[in-house]
Amino acid sequence: MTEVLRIDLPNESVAHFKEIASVLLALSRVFSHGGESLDKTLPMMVKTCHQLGEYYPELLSMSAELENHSLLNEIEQQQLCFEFNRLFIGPTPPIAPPYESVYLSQDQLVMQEQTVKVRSLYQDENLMVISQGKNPDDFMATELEFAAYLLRNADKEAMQNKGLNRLKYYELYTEFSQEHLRKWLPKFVERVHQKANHPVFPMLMDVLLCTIELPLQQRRNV
Amino acid sequence: MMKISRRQFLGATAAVTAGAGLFSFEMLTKLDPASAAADNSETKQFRNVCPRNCYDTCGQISFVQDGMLKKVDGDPKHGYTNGRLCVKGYTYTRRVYSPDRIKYPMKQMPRGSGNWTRISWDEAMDTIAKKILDLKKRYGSTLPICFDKYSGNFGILHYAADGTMSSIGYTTRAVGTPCWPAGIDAQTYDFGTLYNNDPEDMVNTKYLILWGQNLAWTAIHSLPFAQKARENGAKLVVIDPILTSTASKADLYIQIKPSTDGALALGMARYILDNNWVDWDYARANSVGFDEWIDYLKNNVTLDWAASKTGVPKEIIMEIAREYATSKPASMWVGYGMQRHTNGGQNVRIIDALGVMTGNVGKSGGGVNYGQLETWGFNYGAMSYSAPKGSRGIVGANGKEGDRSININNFAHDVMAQQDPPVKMLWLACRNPGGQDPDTHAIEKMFASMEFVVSVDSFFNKTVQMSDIVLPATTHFENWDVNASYWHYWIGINEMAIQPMYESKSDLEIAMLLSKKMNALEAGSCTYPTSGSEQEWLAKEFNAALNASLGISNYKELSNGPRKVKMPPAAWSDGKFRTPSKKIEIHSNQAEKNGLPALPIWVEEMKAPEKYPVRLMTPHPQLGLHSQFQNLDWMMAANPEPKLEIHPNLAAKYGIQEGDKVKVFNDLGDITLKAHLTRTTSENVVVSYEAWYNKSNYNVNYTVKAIPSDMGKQATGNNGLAFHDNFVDLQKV
Repeated sequence: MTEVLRIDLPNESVAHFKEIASVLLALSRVFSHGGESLDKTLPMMVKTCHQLGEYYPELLSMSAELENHSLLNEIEQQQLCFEFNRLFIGPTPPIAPPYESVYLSQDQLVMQEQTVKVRSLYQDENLMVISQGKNPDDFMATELEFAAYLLRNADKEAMQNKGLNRLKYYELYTEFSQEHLRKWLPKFVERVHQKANHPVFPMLMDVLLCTIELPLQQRRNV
Repeated sequence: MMKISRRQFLGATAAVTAGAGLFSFEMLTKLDPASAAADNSETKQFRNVCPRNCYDTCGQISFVQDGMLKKVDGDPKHGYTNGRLCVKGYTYTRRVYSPDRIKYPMKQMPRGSGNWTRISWDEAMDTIAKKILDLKKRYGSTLPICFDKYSGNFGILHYAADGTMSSIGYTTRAVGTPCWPAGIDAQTYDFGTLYNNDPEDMVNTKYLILWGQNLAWTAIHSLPFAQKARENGAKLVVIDPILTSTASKADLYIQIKPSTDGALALGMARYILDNNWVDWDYARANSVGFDEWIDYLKNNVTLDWAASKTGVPKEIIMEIAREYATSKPASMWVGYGMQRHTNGGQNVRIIDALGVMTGNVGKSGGGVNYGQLETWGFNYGAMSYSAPKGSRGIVGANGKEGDRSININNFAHDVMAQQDPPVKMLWLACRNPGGQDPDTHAIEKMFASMEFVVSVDSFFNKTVQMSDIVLPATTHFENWDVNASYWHYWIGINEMAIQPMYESKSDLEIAMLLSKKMNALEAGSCTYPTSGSEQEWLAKEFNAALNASLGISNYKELSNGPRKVKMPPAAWSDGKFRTPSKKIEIHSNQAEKNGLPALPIWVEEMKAPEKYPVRLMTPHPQLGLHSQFQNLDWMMAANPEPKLEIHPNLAAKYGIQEGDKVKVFNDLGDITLKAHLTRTTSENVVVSYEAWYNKSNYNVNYTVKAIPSDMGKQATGNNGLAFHDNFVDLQKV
């Protein structure tokens, strides 16, 4: 049985859930819309990072660098797209397949026990993957969208001042992050760092790892 | 500090979730209760059939839980594969769920650059359809479009890829078969067609010769039947240039010089004749030209000659001749490797004659077994669509316009040779010519000369690498189909066990999708239907005769288990041969008409040229099937890199030691690989198994010339390939 502990968070940190969720959602869109839409999704990434950077200066420097690399001409954008597909999509064997079970399952395949576990978490929230059975539930874009959803709800709860409820989505995020995101994303990020041929992708990875930690960092601060 | 239970917690979150509509979901949606209910953890089982180019065409049971393929096992109701799979078959979950699968339609700009963009199916179909219509407009026909499909998936509904091409007009077609045509023609000249005994009947033999057949690697499910025969007292003899896994299990292994199998069979025949172990009654009653061949044996064949030619000691020839002729019944299984020579078909004809002279044809426990297509009585509706009205093609011998045929076994050169009109576009389905065709450099050059290349595949390979657009193909667990074998007599249904992963589609779906787009762009430009479920298409493949032969009234009954076609266990037991004379044609006028010897007489083997004194044989591997399977993680772990098997004596001549890198080359190209010193091969033969390794450019076909084998065009349209008449030199790197 999962237990949720009541911890009081400082008021100012609660407000950040919304901004953190926005970054995670922007990251989700980077992966769901693919390399062909980086001209749209990267600026959104930068924007959300800037917003969150007001509270976390380390993100400001990351987003500034990211911004430098997101203002690209057409040819550079195309090169970025090719690199995105080489890293994450294919048709060549992708360097860093964006699926949790590839990193955590014994068999290093898609559609493994991790996929079932996140599906179960989605179902607990009355949610399911739009193309369930066709696309692995533990696809990075889906997990990040779910994480964003949890944090957005945590923020809403906090705004509604529902007392105990305020922590429930935060705790759910914590659990999801500890059981899933934090377990596999570092391995995923490592592959990107090692093999990426364009600096924007390691930067994105840095933002990703940093952002998923922020809500947990708040707890540690407490 | 207060604790709440998960149940309490979930109850409290429901209200919040009800407001989830405010959140901008793109990947997730509100839970569909029906979907959640259907997706319970109960394990469901489905019937599947391995569709690979393999004797065994295994009956499979797939185990699906939560909509995911958990395990694949053998189907216990399949009487030949008997509930077991081969090492490749057990890896299927790794194939379906490999992160390396091609997931989406992708476009490469420019071709060969590695610069890939993901596109939608609509964009893919639009691009392809516009290119087809553009070529048709520029050249007045669809002949500039060349279609090459073969054995990546032998499911009957995959003939929809052929249908795609037929329905857009007359196109250029790669005709023939690379694998076995010389042997097919040999048996066609002799018996009227290829037709083997039921392999389960092998248990009844008293003597079994596996002639160039490595069943331990390529037809593992026949091994129990062979072993059962041995338990019953049969002797197992393996004749092969390589001491294979199968050979290691034999009672007698004979290492023969490659391409001299006919000489060994002739030597045996002469000894059988000299000892009057001939079944004169059977041979004379059932064949034409038998005595003419006997005269040839008397006048031209000696045991000394056969021993010298084959490298097999005379005493051994005498031993197996006596045993084969006097063990009743005795069976021979002729492998496909032994006919991949310039005299390969002729060697099969000689072996056929050996079977006839001993009365072993048409007998249970006997036969000269090569393969069969007797059980493939489907309607082939998925491929049977005519060209749109007014289509222009090549005028054939019947005066009608039709497709333009080119030789699948000389694909690169034949494509480039077409002039009126030239070939400008390739469509590759179930086929990887970049990996499997001879003369890879010529293939690369030919691909580079194309305006547009489309490939349909599940994994990246050499052909995909040279494509403009690749379309992601389903695995056989993701679509419906029906499959027959070219060896055993069973037919099985292939049920859709899981949803197609990502955006993959079957050849049938692609055919319908393209037709929809073609007709949207230009009404009437494609005759292929644009609707119908896979099961509806499947139903159309069955007919009354097929149903009767399977003892079913509806194809759906196959969901209860595969069925065996009702045929006698011994091929030709009715004595009704399908040759022009209705008898076994030891003297074949048809062969003579095609420029071949009328009789099964010796034809000299191809000799090594002075410059390239070493024969490079490239047989089928254990852990892969052509360019399939070896790329998977388990196979890469077990067999991480290709090796050159080389006899220690030959290695010493070149100063090569175990593990040294060796350049294998001829005037066509070269490959470099590690040496493995072994006495399993003979002194003048090196061996490297054809395969496609993950993230490797290794390809034996860089050195293989498109040298035709002697037969194939009679029954398959084109002669085969002399893959094993490939000569090279070696250099330690």
